[in-house]
Amino acid sequence: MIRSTIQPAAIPWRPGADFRGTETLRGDILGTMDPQQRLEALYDAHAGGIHRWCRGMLGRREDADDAVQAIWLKLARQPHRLDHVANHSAYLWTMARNHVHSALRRRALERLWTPPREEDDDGLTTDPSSDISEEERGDLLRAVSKLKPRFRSVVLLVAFEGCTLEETGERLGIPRGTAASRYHTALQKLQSSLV
Amino acid sequence: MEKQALEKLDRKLRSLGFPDPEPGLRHRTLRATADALGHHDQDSAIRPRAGWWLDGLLAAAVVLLALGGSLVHQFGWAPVDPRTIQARSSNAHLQQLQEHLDDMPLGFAAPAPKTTHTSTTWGNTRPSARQL
Repeated sequence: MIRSTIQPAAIPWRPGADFRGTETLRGDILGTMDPQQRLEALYDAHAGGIHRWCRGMLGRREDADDAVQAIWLKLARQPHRLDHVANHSAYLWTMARNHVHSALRRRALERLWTPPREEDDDGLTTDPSSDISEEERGDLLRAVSKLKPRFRSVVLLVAFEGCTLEETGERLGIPRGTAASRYHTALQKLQSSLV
Repeated sequence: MEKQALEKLDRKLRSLGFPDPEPGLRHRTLRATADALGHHDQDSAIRPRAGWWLDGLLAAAVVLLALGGSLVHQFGWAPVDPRTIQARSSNAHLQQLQEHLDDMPLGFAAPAPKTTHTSTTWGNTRPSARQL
Protein backbone atom coordinates (compact mmCIF):
# COMPACT_ATOMS: atom_id res chain seq x y z
CA MET A 1 0.00 0.00 0.00
CA ILE A 2 1.36 3.40 -0.88
CA ARG A 3 1.28 5.67 2.07
CA SER A 4 0.64 9.34 1.89
CA THR A 5 3.70 11.35 1.16
CA ILE A 6 4.81 14.85 1.56
CA GLN A 7 4.68 16.37 -1.86
CA PRO A 8 7.73 18.45 -2.67
CA ALA A 9 6.89 22.08 -3.03
CA ALA A 10 8.58 24.56 -5.27
CA ILE A 11 12.22 24.72 -4.27
CA PRO A 12 13.63 28.24 -4.30
CA TRP A 13 17.16 27.14 -3.52
CA ARG A 14 19.23 24.49 -5.20
CA PRO A 15 22.87 23.61 -4.78
CA GLY A 16 23.37 22.70 -8.40
CA ALA A 17 23.35 25.19 -11.20
CA ASP A 18 22.33 22.54 -13.71
CA PHE A 19 19.20 21.53 -11.87
CA ARG A 20 16.32 21.25 -14.30
CA GLY A 21 16.96 22.23 -17.83
CA THR A 22 18.15 18.77 -18.74
CA GLU A 23 14.94 18.32 -20.70
CA THR A 24 16.11 20.98 -23.14
CA LEU A 25 18.79 18.57 -24.39
CA ARG A 26 16.82 16.89 -27.13
CA GLY A 27 17.86 13.69 -28.77
CA ASP A 28 17.55 15.01 -32.32
CA ILE A 29 19.94 17.85 -31.51
CA LEU A 30 22.40 15.42 -29.93
CA GLY A 31 22.24 13.28 -33.04
CA THR A 32 23.65 16.09 -35.18
CA MET A 33 26.71 16.56 -32.97
CA ASP A 34 30.01 14.79 -33.31
CA PRO A 35 30.79 12.33 -30.48
CA GLN A 36 32.97 14.68 -28.44
CA GLN A 37 30.48 17.55 -28.67
CA ARG A 38 27.73 15.18 -27.66
CA LEU A 39 29.66 14.04 -24.61
CA GLU A 40 30.34 17.65 -23.63
CA ALA A 41 26.66 18.54 -23.94
CA LEU A 42 25.66 15.53 -21.90
CA TYR A 43 28.26 16.40 -19.28
CA ASP A 44 27.00 19.95 -18.93
CA ALA A 45 23.42 18.74 -18.64
CA HIS A 46 23.72 15.72 -16.37
CA ALA A 47 27.13 15.41 -14.73
CA GLY A 48 26.37 17.78 -11.86
CA GLY A 49 23.30 15.92 -10.68
CA ILE A 50 24.92 12.53 -11.12
CA HIS A 51 28.02 13.70 -9.26
CA ARG A 52 26.03 15.02 -6.31
CA TRP A 53 23.96 11.87 -6.09
CA CYS A 54 27.02 9.63 -6.31
CA ARG A 55 28.68 11.71 -3.62
CA GLY A 56 25.73 11.19 -1.32
CA MET A 57 25.60 7.48 -2.11
CA LEU A 58 29.31 6.72 -1.93
CA GLY A 59 30.27 9.22 0.76
CA ARG A 60 33.38 10.76 -0.76
CA ARG A 61 33.95 13.36 -3.41
CA GLU A 62 36.74 11.32 -4.99
CA ASP A 63 34.38 8.39 -5.46
CA ALA A 64 31.87 10.64 -7.17
CA ASP A 65 34.64 11.98 -9.44
CA ASP A 66 35.57 8.42 -10.35
CA ALA A 67 31.95 7.56 -11.06
CA VAL A 68 31.47 10.49 -13.44
CA GLN A 69 34.73 9.80 -15.22
CA ALA A 70 33.95 6.10 -15.54
CA ILE A 71 30.54 6.78 -17.05
CA TRP A 72 31.79 9.28 -19.62
CA LEU A 73 34.79 7.16 -20.51
CA LYS A 74 32.52 4.19 -21.10
CA LEU A 75 30.48 6.33 -23.47
CA ALA A 76 33.60 7.56 -25.24
CA ARG A 77 34.97 4.06 -25.77
CA GLN A 78 31.68 2.96 -27.30
CA PRO A 79 30.38 6.15 -28.91
CA HIS A 80 27.64 4.35 -30.81
CA ARG A 81 25.89 3.34 -27.58
CA LEU A 82 23.98 6.62 -27.64
CA ASP A 83 22.89 6.42 -31.27
CA HIS A 84 19.59 4.75 -30.56
CA VAL A 85 18.90 6.10 -27.08
CA ALA A 86 15.63 7.98 -26.82
CA ASN A 87 15.96 9.21 -23.25
CA HIS A 88 19.54 10.20 -22.55
CA SER A 89 18.82 11.27 -18.98
CA ALA A 90 17.39 7.88 -18.08
CA TYR A 91 20.26 6.14 -19.83
CA LEU A 92 22.91 8.10 -17.95
CA TRP A 93 21.17 7.66 -14.63
CA THR A 94 20.96 3.93 -15.23
CA MET A 95 24.69 3.88 -15.83
CA ALA A 96 25.20 5.89 -12.63
CA ARG A 97 23.01 3.51 -10.63
CA ASN A 98 24.87 0.51 -11.95
CA HIS A 99 28.19 2.11 -11.13
CA VAL A 100 27.12 2.97 -7.59
CA HIS A 101 25.68 -0.47 -6.97
CA SER A 102 28.87 -2.09 -8.24
CA ALA A 103 30.98 0.17 -6.05
CA LEU A 104 28.87 -0.51 -3.00
CA ARG A 105 28.97 -4.21 -3.62
CA ARG A 106 32.66 -4.29 -4.40
CA ARG A 107 33.84 -2.37 -1.41
CA ALA A 108 31.07 -3.37 0.96
CA LEU A 109 30.37 0.28 1.60
CA GLU A 110 26.84 -0.59 2.54
CA ARG A 111 28.12 -1.78 5.86
CA LEU A 112 31.33 0.19 6.14
CA TRP A 113 30.05 3.62 5.12
CA THR A 114 31.10 6.13 7.70
CA PRO A 115 30.20 9.79 7.68
CA PRO A 116 33.01 12.29 7.37
CA ARG A 117 34.86 13.10 10.56
CA GLU A 118 33.95 16.21 12.44
CA GLU A 119 37.15 18.00 11.51
CA ASP A 120 36.73 17.16 7.82
CA ASP A 121 34.61 19.15 5.46
CA ASP A 122 31.51 17.05 4.87
CA GLY A 123 30.95 18.82 1.59
CA LEU A 124 27.37 19.71 2.35
CA THR A 125 26.08 23.11 1.40
CA THR A 126 23.24 24.68 3.27
CA ASP A 127 20.52 27.02 2.23
CA PRO A 128 21.66 30.39 3.61
CA SER A 129 18.10 31.32 4.52
CA SER A 130 17.56 28.25 6.69
CA ASP A 131 17.99 28.38 10.44
CA ILE A 132 19.57 24.94 10.67
CA SER A 133 22.53 24.79 13.04
CA GLU A 134 25.88 23.15 12.37
CA GLU A 135 25.21 20.49 14.97
CA GLU A 136 21.83 19.71 13.51
CA ARG A 137 23.32 19.50 10.05
CA GLY A 138 25.89 16.97 11.20
CA ASP A 139 23.21 14.89 12.89
CA LEU A 140 21.10 14.92 9.75
CA LEU A 141 24.00 13.86 7.56
CA ARG A 142 24.93 11.03 9.89
CA ALA A 143 21.33 9.86 10.01
CA VAL A 144 21.05 9.96 6.22
CA SER A 145 24.31 8.09 5.85
CA LYS A 146 22.99 5.26 8.01
CA LEU A 147 19.96 4.72 5.81
CA LYS A 148 19.99 1.72 3.53
CA PRO A 149 20.98 2.60 -0.04
CA ARG A 150 17.48 2.21 -1.46
CA PHE A 151 16.17 4.80 1.01
CA ARG A 152 19.25 7.02 0.89
CA SER A 153 19.10 7.25 -2.89
CA VAL A 154 15.52 8.54 -2.74
CA VAL A 155 16.30 11.07 0.02
CA LEU A 156 19.27 12.39 -1.92
CA LEU A 157 17.14 13.00 -5.00
CA VAL A 158 13.90 14.17 -3.43
CA ALA A 159 15.28 16.29 -0.59
CA PHE A 160 18.82 17.21 -1.61
CA GLU A 161 18.19 17.61 -5.32
CA GLY A 162 14.57 18.69 -5.19
CA CYS A 163 13.43 16.21 -7.79
CA THR A 164 9.77 15.39 -8.14
CA LEU A 165 8.67 11.87 -7.40
CA GLU A 166 8.31 11.22 -11.13
CA GLU A 167 11.85 12.40 -11.78
CA THR A 168 13.12 10.37 -8.86
CA GLY A 169 11.38 7.27 -10.12
CA GLU A 170 12.74 7.80 -13.61
CA ARG A 171 16.30 8.29 -12.40
CA LEU A 172 16.22 5.31 -10.08
CA GLY A 173 14.25 3.07 -12.40
CA ILE A 174 11.38 2.58 -9.98
CA PRO A 175 7.68 3.53 -10.15
CA ARG A 176 6.55 6.84 -8.75
CA GLY A 177 4.60 5.11 -5.97
CA THR A 178 7.65 3.18 -4.89
CA ALA A 179 9.68 6.39 -4.73
CA ALA A 180 6.95 8.03 -2.64
CA SER A 181 6.72 5.09 -0.31
CA ARG A 182 10.47 4.90 0.16
CA TYR A 183 10.75 8.62 0.84
CA HIS A 184 8.02 8.46 3.46
CA THR A 185 9.65 5.43 5.11
CA ALA A 186 13.03 7.18 5.03
CA LEU A 187 11.58 10.21 6.78
CA GLN A 188 10.14 7.99 9.49
CA LYS A 189 13.46 6.22 9.95
CA LEU A 190 15.32 9.52 10.11
CA GLN A 191 12.82 10.92 12.58
CA SER A 192 13.17 7.93 14.88
CA SER A 193 16.97 7.99 14.67
CA LEU A 194 17.18 11.72 15.42
CA VAL A 195 14.96 11.62 18.51
CA MET B 1 1.61 15.31 15.18
CA GLU B 2 3.79 12.84 13.37
CA LYS B 3 2.93 14.42 10.04
CA GLN B 4 4.02 17.84 11.30
CA ALA B 5 7.32 16.37 12.54
CA LEU B 6 7.92 14.70 9.21
CA GLU B 7 7.14 17.90 7.34
CA LYS B 8 9.60 19.78 9.52
CA LEU B 9 12.24 17.13 8.88
CA ASP B 10 11.47 17.31 5.18
CA ARG B 11 12.06 21.08 5.18
CA LYS B 12 15.36 20.64 7.00
CA LEU B 13 16.53 18.02 4.58
CA ARG B 14 15.61 20.22 1.66
CA SER B 15 17.88 22.94 2.95
CA LEU B 16 20.88 20.66 2.52
CA GLY B 17 22.67 19.62 -0.61
CA PHE B 18 25.98 18.69 -2.11
CA PRO B 19 27.85 21.21 -4.21
CA ASP B 20 28.63 20.93 -7.88
CA PRO B 21 31.73 19.02 -8.90
CA GLU B 22 34.86 21.07 -9.20
CA PRO B 23 35.47 22.57 -12.66
CA GLY B 24 38.68 20.57 -13.06
CA LEU B 25 36.68 17.37 -13.22
CA ARG B 26 35.00 18.52 -16.42
CA HIS B 27 38.35 19.26 -18.00
CA ARG B 28 39.85 15.95 -16.94
CA THR B 29 36.82 13.91 -17.96
CA LEU B 30 36.38 15.49 -21.37
CA ARG B 31 40.09 15.25 -22.10
CA ALA B 32 39.93 11.54 -21.29
CA THR B 33 36.91 11.10 -23.52
CA ALA B 34 38.66 12.95 -26.34
CA ASP B 35 41.64 10.62 -25.97
CA ALA B 36 39.38 7.60 -25.99
CA LEU B 37 37.51 8.87 -29.04
CA GLY B 38 40.85 9.56 -30.75
CA HIS B 39 41.90 5.98 -30.26
CA HIS B 40 38.57 4.87 -31.60
CA ASP B 41 38.92 7.09 -34.67
CA GLN B 42 42.42 5.79 -35.33
CA ASP B 43 41.16 2.25 -35.21
CA SER B 44 38.28 3.01 -37.51
CA ALA B 45 40.62 4.88 -39.88
CA ILE B 46 43.02 1.98 -40.13
CA ARG B 47 40.44 -0.75 -40.49
CA PRO B 48 38.95 0.29 -43.87
CA ARG B 49 42.40 0.72 -45.43
CA ALA B 50 43.51 -2.76 -44.46
CA GLY B 51 40.13 -4.11 -45.49
CA TRP B 52 40.39 -2.48 -48.91
CA TRP B 53 43.54 -4.41 -49.76
CA LEU B 54 42.11 -7.62 -48.45
CA ASP B 55 38.86 -7.10 -50.29
CA GLY B 56 40.75 -6.30 -53.49
CA LEU B 57 42.85 -9.42 -53.27
CA LEU B 58 39.85 -11.58 -52.58
CA ALA B 59 37.89 -10.07 -55.47
CA ALA B 60 40.81 -10.61 -57.88
CA ALA B 61 41.15 -14.22 -56.77
CA VAL B 62 37.44 -14.84 -57.25
CA VAL B 63 37.48 -13.27 -60.72
CA LEU B 64 40.49 -15.34 -61.77
CA LEU B 65 38.93 -18.53 -60.50
CA ALA B 66 35.68 -17.82 -62.29
CA LEU B 67 37.46 -16.96 -65.54
CA GLY B 68 39.64 -20.03 -65.34
CA GLY B 69 36.69 -22.24 -64.57
CA SER B 70 34.69 -20.96 -67.51
CA LEU B 71 37.64 -21.43 -69.88
CA VAL B 72 38.25 -24.95 -68.72
CA HIS B 73 34.59 -25.72 -69.03
CA GLN B 74 34.39 -24.26 -72.51
CA PHE B 75 37.54 -25.81 -74.00
CA GLY B 76 37.39 -29.12 -72.30
CA TRP B 77 40.28 -28.61 -69.98
CA ALA B 78 38.31 -29.88 -67.18
CA PRO B 79 40.32 -31.70 -64.60
CA VAL B 80 40.57 -35.43 -65.17
CA ASP B 81 40.04 -38.07 -62.62
CA PRO B 82 43.40 -39.69 -61.72
CA ARG B 83 41.94 -43.14 -62.35
CA THR B 84 41.10 -42.09 -65.89
CA ILE B 85 44.66 -40.88 -66.40
CA GLN B 86 45.97 -44.18 -65.11
CA ALA B 87 43.63 -46.14 -67.38
CA ARG B 88 44.59 -44.03 -70.35
CA SER B 89 48.30 -44.48 -69.69
CA SER B 90 47.97 -48.24 -69.19
CA ASN B 91 45.96 -48.55 -72.40
CA ALA B 92 48.60 -46.59 -74.24
CA HIS B 93 51.30 -48.73 -72.72
CA LEU B 94 49.52 -51.91 -73.81
CA GLN B 95 49.00 -50.54 -77.31
CA GLN B 96 52.65 -49.58 -77.53
CA LEU B 97 53.66 -53.01 -76.33
CA GLN B 98 51.41 -54.66 -78.90
CA GLU B 99 52.92 -52.56 -81.66
CA HIS B 100 56.33 -53.48 -80.45
CA LEU B 101 55.46 -57.17 -80.51
CA ASP B 102 54.01 -56.87 -83.99
CA ASP B 103 57.23 -55.37 -85.26
CA MET B 104 59.34 -58.14 -83.86
CA PRO B 105 60.65 -60.96 -86.24
CA LEU B 106 58.34 -63.88 -86.59
CA GLY B 107 59.14 -66.82 -84.43
CA PHE B 108 61.18 -64.90 -81.96
CA ALA B 109 58.17 -64.16 -80.00
CA ALA B 110 56.92 -67.71 -80.13
CA PRO B 111 56.59 -69.38 -76.83
CA ALA B 112 59.28 -71.79 -75.79
CA PRO B 113 58.36 -75.49 -76.05
CA LYS B 114 57.07 -77.04 -72.92
CA THR B 115 59.42 -79.40 -71.21
CA THR B 116 58.37 -82.62 -69.62
CA HIS B 117 61.22 -82.43 -67.21
CA THR B 118 60.29 -82.10 -63.65
CA SER B 119 62.91 -80.99 -61.36
CA THR B 120 63.15 -81.70 -57.76
CA THR B 121 64.31 -78.18 -57.27
CA TRP B 122 61.51 -75.73 -57.23
CA GLY B 123 61.70 -73.38 -60.14
CA ASN B 124 64.51 -75.13 -61.97
CA THR B 125 63.14 -75.39 -65.51
CA ARG B 126 66.40 -75.83 -67.31
CA PRO B 127 66.06 -78.69 -69.95
CA SER B 128 68.07 -81.79 -69.38
CA ALA B 129 70.99 -82.76 -71.58
CA ARG B 130 68.97 -85.52 -73.19
CA GLN B 131 66.28 -83.14 -74.23
CA LEU B 132 68.78 -80.75 -75.73
